[in-house]
Amino acid sequence: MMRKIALSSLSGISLLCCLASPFLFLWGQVSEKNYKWIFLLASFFWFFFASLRVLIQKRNQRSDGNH
Amino acid sequence: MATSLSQITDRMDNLYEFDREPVSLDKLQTGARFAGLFAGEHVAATEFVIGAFFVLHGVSLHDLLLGLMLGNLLAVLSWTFICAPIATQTRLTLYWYLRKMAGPGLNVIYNLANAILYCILAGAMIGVSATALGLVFGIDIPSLDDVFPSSLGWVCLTLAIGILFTVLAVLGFEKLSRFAQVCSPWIFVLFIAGALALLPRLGVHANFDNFFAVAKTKIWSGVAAEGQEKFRMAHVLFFAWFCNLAMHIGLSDMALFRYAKKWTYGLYSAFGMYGGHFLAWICSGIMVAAIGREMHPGLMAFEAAGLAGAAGVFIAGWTTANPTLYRAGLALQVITPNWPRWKVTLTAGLLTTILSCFPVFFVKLLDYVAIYGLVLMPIGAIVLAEHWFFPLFKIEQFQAEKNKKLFNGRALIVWIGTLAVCSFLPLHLFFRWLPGYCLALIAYILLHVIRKKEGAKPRDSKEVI
Repeated sequence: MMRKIALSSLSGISLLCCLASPFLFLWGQVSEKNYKWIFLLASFFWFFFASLRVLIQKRNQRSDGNH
Repeated sequence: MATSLSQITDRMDNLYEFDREPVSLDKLQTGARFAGLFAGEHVAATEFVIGAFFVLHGVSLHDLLLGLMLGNLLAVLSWTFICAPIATQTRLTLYWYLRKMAGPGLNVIYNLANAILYCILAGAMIGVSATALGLVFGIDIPSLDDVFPSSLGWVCLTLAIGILFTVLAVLGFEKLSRFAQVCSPWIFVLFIAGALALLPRLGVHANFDNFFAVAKTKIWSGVAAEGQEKFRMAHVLFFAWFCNLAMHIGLSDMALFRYAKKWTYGLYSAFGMYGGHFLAWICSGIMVAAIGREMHPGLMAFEAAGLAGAAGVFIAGWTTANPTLYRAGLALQVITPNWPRWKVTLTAGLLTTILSCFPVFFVKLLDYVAIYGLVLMPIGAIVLAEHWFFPLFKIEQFQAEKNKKLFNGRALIVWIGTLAVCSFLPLHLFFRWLPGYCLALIAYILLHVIRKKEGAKPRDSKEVI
């Protein structure tokens, strides 16, 4: 359960970073090049944490089914 | 002929056997699940093209906003007042409910039509993905007038992507579906981030104080691109309404709403229409204006979000083509006796791959979406008439099932007749479905009223048509 919460939080934060990055560029806080890097990196983390969350969820469902 | 058709319908019944019984009350889903489903399903690869086309067709900002507001509202109301009530009362899929009314023979035709339409749609999605990969290999994408492949590079690219998508769908449809669940929130964010990042290129200030001025003059200026037809509010309104016509008016989302606790769950479709279509189409409009009104989804996303953007277009095409290929395969299974699942998916995939080489399905996507809805719409009218109006007019329901008919001849006449009339209606393609729907509804009821008045006896149970 804790792991699920942690992964959900981390994936949520990654997605928020994706969304925040164009605002930083728009407000002149980062350059266009850096915005694209931030977006790429945050996207990578989103896919990593969200996929892990889905995998664990699936494994838990399978083990619940076995019991 | 009748025997072989019976064999086909038997095979089809076996395929859909798992959802033959009405959904039991313990399997009903929460509203949050419906909200999530709709929000995820309506941010797809095609959104990159649709919103951009509104800009190229010279829609003004006022027409866009009003058209999208009203059109999406009508779509939500169609789900809520037409599709969801029938689904929650019957708890059946359209397949089984239509079988009672139209007979198993007509169901086969409906499924085949659906399969072909799905393959074309998946082909268009491959075309969208190809624009992203084309950037890497420097392949020019087709122009807006192209019907046939314009270059060998485009053919090779779409064939390669089509085969890749097909092989991946064959290897693991379910795994890809889970991957699609992970992708959909990110693709939604990609639309918003991409549009925001390109606003400075159009001259929008950081505090957005001149956003509407820029939107009116540089994005939705009301001037159509060269060679493109001018669209007004009615075009946008009707497009937003019929974009998912097969799902709401056409009732194929009965499969979804049979799990709803009550018919008002249809209102959750607003999450897909406003959270998805509305925002995504506005965002893709901004993106296409920022790259100089070039219909190139891959370039749009690359300019907006770099490598992640181009990857996003490719992934969006992939994850939306995957379930479409699966559905096409399922529908095609009726004419492929004893074929394993992988073989049917492979066949559907290869057909889709060949279709994807033809840019007409991608560059004329708006027209194709209109035709897709139009072809399947009369079936929705037939089901609506039989479900709601037959009891009112005291006409016996489900005559095809009761008389064990392979075909309901009147349903077939209404379907073909409606499409024939619609093809000659002196209206823009976008507006033809509505009079066609009313015509199908009235014609189907009238044909049964006349038959009832004639007092005709039920035909022999084994008679075809």
